[in-house]
Amino acid sequence: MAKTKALLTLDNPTSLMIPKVKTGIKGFEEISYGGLPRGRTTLISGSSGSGKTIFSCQFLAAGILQFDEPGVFITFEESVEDLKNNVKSFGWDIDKFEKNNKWLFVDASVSFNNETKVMGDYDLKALLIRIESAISKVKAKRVVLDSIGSLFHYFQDPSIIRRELFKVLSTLKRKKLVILITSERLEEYGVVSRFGVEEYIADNVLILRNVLENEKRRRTIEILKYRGSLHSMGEQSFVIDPQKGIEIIPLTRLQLTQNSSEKRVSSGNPPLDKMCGGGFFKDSIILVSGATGTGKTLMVTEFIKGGFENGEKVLFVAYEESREQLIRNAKGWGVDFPKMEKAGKLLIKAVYPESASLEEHLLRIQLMVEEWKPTRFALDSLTAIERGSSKKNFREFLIALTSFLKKKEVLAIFTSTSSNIVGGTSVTDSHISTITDSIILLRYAELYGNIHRVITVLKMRGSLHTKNIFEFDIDANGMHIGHKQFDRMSGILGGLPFVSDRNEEEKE
Amino acid sequence: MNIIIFHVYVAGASGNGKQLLKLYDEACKVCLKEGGYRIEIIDILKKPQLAEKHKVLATPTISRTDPGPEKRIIGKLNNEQAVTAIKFLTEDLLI
Repeated sequence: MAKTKALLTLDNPTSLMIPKVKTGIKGFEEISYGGLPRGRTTLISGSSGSGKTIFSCQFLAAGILQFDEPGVFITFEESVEDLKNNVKSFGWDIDKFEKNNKWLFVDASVSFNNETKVMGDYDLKALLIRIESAISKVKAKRVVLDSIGSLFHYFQDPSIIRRELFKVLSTLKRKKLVILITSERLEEYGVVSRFGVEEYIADNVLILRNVLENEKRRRTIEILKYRGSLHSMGEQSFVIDPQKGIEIIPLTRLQLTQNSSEKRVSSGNPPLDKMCGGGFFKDSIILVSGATGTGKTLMVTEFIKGGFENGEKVLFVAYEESREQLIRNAKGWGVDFPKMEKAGKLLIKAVYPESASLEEHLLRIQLMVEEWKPTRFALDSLTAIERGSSKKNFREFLIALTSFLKKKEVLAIFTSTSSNIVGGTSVTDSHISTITDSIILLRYAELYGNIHRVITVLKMRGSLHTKNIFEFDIDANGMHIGHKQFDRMSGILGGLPFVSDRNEEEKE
Repeated sequence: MNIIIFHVYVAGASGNGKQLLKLYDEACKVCLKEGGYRIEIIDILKKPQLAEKHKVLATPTISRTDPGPEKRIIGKLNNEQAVTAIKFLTEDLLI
């Protein structure tokens, strides 16, 4: 006993790694540092509709499909038929699993009627025997009890149920199974479980949440307790994909381990390349910030053109304008999108930002990048997609997206719209400027009653760049960055330049 | 009229099947006609498939299986409670 205790210290973190079983649920292994522990019980607590049953079914289905680990599903609430139908869309053919002797149900659903009465003390041996018999029939490695809350309804006296469930679970634990139990809670934040005892019979506790945040639903998973084992802290976003089930987006586990490339490629605009010290780094993230109409979409268009001319594949995700509009705009600047698409070098996806949550947008982008394998990625605009999401959620989305793109070594350009017509920065910029490698500012400046467009490279990580502000024009051939440097002007970025006579100052 | 069939589910020898048979037989004698009932002890350790078929969770459980619909009483009972239980299990039948 003393020996075990000594081993479980933080001085020896490897001893904290109790054997874990990969769940097969995307992202879960990352946040739990390896999966669910064998020979232990894990409670999933969540409000109704938070995804407990889907998580449980996916745990068994993935066990069968990915690791050939058969499972037993003990249902206390839903009927077997309902369960099968509810998860059919995820592609888990339970009928087939049953036929192949990989999945077995124990139907412990009890009907709430007046036909059954509890009059004295009892035990749950009958349940245990049924479970054990099912386990040996399919040689199960994984067991799910969904959801134990109904037992408390049915048998009322929680102390007996607690004692009996504890006995059942101890027996199952000795069989070295991975045990998952679910329980309902009434509030998203507050007591862990409805009857207040569920968490005490489990070694580990996971919480699934489905919260309303700025009028948008956001699903999260939190590992609240992981006895004797390391795990990530706090809430992690997840989505329920209608085809693939639960996918967790492990934001806090993302690491900045990407190699940065020294290789440079063209931005699609030679004078801009020059301003950046010879082009963009091959795997960098560029932010283009400017007021409406300053030429952000044009810059993206030129970026795409630059990729095409370099023989690269470009994915363009647009949240502000339709495909047709984008094609027409590009044509107006002498860039032929349809030709690039036909050549298989460009993929344009115009999406309504409101059509999905940030997590879903992220997954869609990831999927497209994985499948289509572009080397350039353009997103227009972050401001559109930021609308209606919380600051924290948006920042997490950005971190996840940028680190994903970096891992895939994709050169990316994002645009962001500043709210002021002249000068100023947008809210978006402040939280993303630290994440991006380079920032290009497009601004309007008023001079002698005329509006001028100006461009400057504000930041270029790992490289020299010109610090000057240049004027530029837009015509049918795109963006023309002029030689005019506002040498004798100040306050240009503020939008209202004034002449500051340097010579005068020097004289004094 | 058909005889009433009770199933008494126990788990293994520690379930005291014989004792329960005696307990419920005496209770039945109090409220039912002689020969109008039959009590079957089912050891789910020996016949887990019956526990599965009848969806039994807890032991001991006594259920009136025939005539339907099924009614159940769960828990260890004393003599007095056993009589109450048999009354509950048969109250909907015309005896």
